[in-house]
Amino acid sequence: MQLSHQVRPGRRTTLSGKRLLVIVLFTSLILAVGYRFVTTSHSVQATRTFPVLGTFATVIVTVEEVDAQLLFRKADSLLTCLDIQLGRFSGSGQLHDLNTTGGISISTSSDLAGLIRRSDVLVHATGNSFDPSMGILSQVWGFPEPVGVPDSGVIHQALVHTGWDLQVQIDSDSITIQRNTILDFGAIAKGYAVDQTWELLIEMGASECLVEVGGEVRCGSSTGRIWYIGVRHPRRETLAGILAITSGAVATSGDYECFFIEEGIRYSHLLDTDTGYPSRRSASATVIAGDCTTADAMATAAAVAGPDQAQHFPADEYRGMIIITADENDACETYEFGDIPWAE
Amino acid sequence: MFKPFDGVLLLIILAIALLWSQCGEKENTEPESLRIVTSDTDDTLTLFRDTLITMDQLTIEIRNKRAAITHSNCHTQQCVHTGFITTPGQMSACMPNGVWIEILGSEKTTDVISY
Repeated sequence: MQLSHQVRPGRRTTLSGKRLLVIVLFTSLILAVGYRFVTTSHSVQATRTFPVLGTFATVIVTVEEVDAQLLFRKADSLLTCLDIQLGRFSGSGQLHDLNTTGGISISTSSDLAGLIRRSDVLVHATGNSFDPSMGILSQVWGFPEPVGVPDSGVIHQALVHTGWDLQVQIDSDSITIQRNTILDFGAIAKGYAVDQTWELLIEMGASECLVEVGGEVRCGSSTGRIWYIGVRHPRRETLAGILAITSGAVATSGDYECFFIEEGIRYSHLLDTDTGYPSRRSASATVIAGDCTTADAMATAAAVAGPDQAQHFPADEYRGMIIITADENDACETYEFGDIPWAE
Repeated sequence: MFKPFDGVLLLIILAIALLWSQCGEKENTEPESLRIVTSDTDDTLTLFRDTLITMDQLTIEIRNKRAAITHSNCHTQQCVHTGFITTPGQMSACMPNGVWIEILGSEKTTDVISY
């Protein structure tokens, strides 16, 4: 009894150590496999880039039960449709009809009617710094492919056909524009298209979704994910900073995007509604807002207006605004208004 | 008996299991520059500035942080049909002219860029 008592405890101790090792190894492997199965197999992040609206769109979605490829096809289809409806150069669609006929009845549920009504609010909120009735001036300057500074007489003649309140009449069931006025929603259409696409993908089951078209971004999720949005610096080949946001929109407008230089002077597509000439009050403006339609229009308005005027834009239309100015030697100054969620 | 070496082995296996569970979860690079290689040159250009590079035999375009061989005098036109390349590691080549381009990346710090 005594001998048995001395041996058995020793044997039990040796077996327990090996068993413990084997159990821990198996458990860790099972946990690792399980972790990958849970996080990878059921939740998939996918990214797709495709050409649309004269630029590129990037869509990032995280899906669990929906085929990501189906979401990409829907996004591509919707963006292409909006491109035709809202593009000034599409050659067809409601905007083309409005610009060529001078006035049409538009269903209040149509994309163009929604865009015109939202534009009406933003034109007044920005003191006409954002003004889609400037289409004829863009045409005179030749944007997006300018060839040089137009004759001043031609610019003043074109100015007669601009000015939102003078040229656009909005009634309950129709929208009319004056003869020779051209509406150009280039400063808001991309943001609107981003919003429509983002909302569609969330409705279709994306748990995390980011849509970017030509640098205008809308993002959000049901998981609380933080999205990191880089902000381009207008004069350097680095970022001005990185924003960290869980939900909302970011849009940037700058004089580096579409411009030419003549006799040392930079002429950009950011046209001043008062003078008809490109504004030089800022080099770029980035706006963070709840939706991309607002952010897009406000970014253009802030870039045209510059920091002195833009600081008076109604604070309930945006969360944060970053305006970077540059002098003739490209020395830059940064102005921030509202809350800027810089990444730490 | 449980020996000290068993503990080390256990830690190594646990570390391998942990690394394996985490690997391949994120794309860790984002497009930053374009490498252009010809028979005579090997240059790198930033993708942050839209640029048109015209050579005798072909044209390379950098637009919106993407790059493509947009024109070539080669008879196959395979390089032109490749279109825009967008992600680090992606390449487009014009074999008849001995030119190839590749997107180079940097460590990813953003999801997208607002510009």
